[in-house]
Amino acid sequence: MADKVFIALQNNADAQPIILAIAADNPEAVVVESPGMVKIDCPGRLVIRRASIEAQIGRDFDLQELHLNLISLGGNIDEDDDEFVLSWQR
Amino acid sequence: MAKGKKLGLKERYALMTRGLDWETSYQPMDAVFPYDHYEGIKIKDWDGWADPFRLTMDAYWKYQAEKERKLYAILDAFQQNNGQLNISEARYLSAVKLWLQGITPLEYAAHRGFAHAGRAFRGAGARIACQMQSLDELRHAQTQLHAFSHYNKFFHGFHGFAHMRDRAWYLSIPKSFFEDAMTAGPFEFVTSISFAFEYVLTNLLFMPFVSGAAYNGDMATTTFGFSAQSDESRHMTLGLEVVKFMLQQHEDNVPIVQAWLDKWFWRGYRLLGLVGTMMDYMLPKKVMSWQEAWGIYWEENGIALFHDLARYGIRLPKHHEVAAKEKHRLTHEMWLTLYQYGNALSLHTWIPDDAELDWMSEKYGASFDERYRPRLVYLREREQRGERYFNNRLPMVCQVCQIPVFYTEPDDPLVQCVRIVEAGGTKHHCCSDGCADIFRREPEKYVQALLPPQQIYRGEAGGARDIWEYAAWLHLEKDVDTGEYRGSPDQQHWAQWQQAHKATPADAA
Amino acid sequence: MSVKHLGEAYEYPSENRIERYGGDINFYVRWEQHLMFACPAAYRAPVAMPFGDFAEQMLRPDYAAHPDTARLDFARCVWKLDKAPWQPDLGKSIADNGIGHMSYIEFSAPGLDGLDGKGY
Repeated sequence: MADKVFIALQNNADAQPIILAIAADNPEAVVVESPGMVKIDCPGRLVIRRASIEAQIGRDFDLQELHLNLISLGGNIDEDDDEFVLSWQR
Repeated sequence: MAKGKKLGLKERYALMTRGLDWETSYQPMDAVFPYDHYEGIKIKDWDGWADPFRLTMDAYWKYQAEKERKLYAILDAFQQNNGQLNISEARYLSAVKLWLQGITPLEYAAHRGFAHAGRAFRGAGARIACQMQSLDELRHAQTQLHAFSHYNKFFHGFHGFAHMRDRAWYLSIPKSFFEDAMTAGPFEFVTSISFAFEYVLTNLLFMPFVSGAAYNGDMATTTFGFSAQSDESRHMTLGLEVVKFMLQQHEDNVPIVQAWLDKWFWRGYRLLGLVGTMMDYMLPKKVMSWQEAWGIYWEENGIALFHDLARYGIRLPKHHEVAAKEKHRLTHEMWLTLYQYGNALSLHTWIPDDAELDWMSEKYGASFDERYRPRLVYLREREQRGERYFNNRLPMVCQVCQIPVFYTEPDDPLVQCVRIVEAGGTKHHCCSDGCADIFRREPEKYVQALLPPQQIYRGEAGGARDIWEYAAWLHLEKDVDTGEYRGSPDQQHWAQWQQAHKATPADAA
Repeated sequence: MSVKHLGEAYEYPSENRIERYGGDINFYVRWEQHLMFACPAAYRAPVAMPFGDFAEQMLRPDYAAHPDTARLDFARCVWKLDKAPWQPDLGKSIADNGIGHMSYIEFSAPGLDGLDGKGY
């Protein structure tokens, strides 16, 4: 089984649409809630799509806004205007 | 490029981080940047460095300002609403005191270290990343001091962190960790702090521990903790990037980087034992055991990272298997040590109550029930009959990690682990094979270590002759700042405030 | 291996060199099977002090908290110096017993194995 990448976000109102978008776009993602935070693990690769978040919140979203609620992550990052991808190389 | 078209993220990053520097003409580049090649790291192309977040300075200011606004709004609310009364119990604050005394000064040291590393690198991308991190670390020191200052109004032990940083035996542990890194070259510094410490290990501090702070009602620590950790994600990414950058630039860099990973994994692991003890013992309401956190953040997430680096010829750090053997006993051994030397700590120690011992039995199983639970129960019985145990004799301290040598042998939990190393005709002592390896690699460096027990015996600790005089030299008031929690002023005040808090208007009338 | 460095030779004396002890020495002692004393303990003592005096006047009071200490007889202990078997003469001085600066002494007391015989 592929090593897991992860991202952790603060468990607040701003992060909810991001968490929903991640869960929708990554069927293998597992969301684990702890006090104050949410950690999302996913085997091999996890993608965060700007369009999916915008569909949740009904406004433009800049993926760099992730920094505001980001707690931690694990994986190589590839980010452009449309997608933020975490992966381990196979 | 069409006029007026918004640039993409990758284009913006390239424009804002490249071509900002110049080739020197009065002096050769190697003379202007002497630090970035003496460690033996070979760089062919500095433009190979990229920040995967592609954060530019303008975006950095924008998002940092937003984070600060959120953070200070919460800190103001916390102070105005007597947030200190909402924590689970006053003894929880021992963890916060240890954070203030041990970790906050590291943030400031990191600020200095990254300012130096930024000056030392000749590549503009690396310089910008170091500049941002240097600013972040200063922010962390300031926000932590600001948040903790509120507790200082109500509880003991918060008063002397700056005075104690250069004096206290237990604070020499984190201090020496960072000074070891800061006195290395810039590539080793960034590998040690950004990669080994921040990527591999600080998740254990900022995730399970800060989540624990949230669970224990500490809104101040939770808020700055997670706010700082969002910067930490960027630092971790820088750490992974610098390691990959070195490994990609030249094959000769691989053994150098591996040696640094071996060293800094071990030093970071030793330091984090304090965090594990905060999680298992200092949180009255517990979230996750050290053993579980180690399983998630090292054995799962950390090892995934090393699998990813295997393609460059990097293997798992030496002695990681020792950490696995110690994970069920590390925090128990460390707490029993802090407990007996609690006469010179600016925080309280205690024996957990039965519900907490049951939690530990559940989390740690037979080894806890066989060895550590009976010891804790014995010490509690002593305390209850008025014979609270303190050890009044100064301990042997490891020449490398500066932790009192309390660890037991990897394969024998009843025998202390002591390793004798020699340099310049003088013997020194280490707590483990990991620390002994680090010593042997650079003995000239570690023989200079200022170890507090030796300092005291040489008469260099304000003339203190024993542990009590030493505590006074730290500006610690006996049995107020130090010692047992039960019966302490903090505990008594807490009980009074809780009583007043619960009282109804009818009670008052 | 040695430190990579810029500039002049990288040479520094030990911070804890014997010259800083005014004729005394710094050494360490551990009582095996008694982890109530979590760490080996550090001592500063004059080299001319008889080892038996050191044991009775410095070691024994440090172990006062342990129930085994009342039955501790230093003459019957099994000793190691820097991890090698060693038989100290309690009447001779610290120096004459071969204890040096930064030496490490371990001893066990037959029959005394900690609380409930469990090494604590």
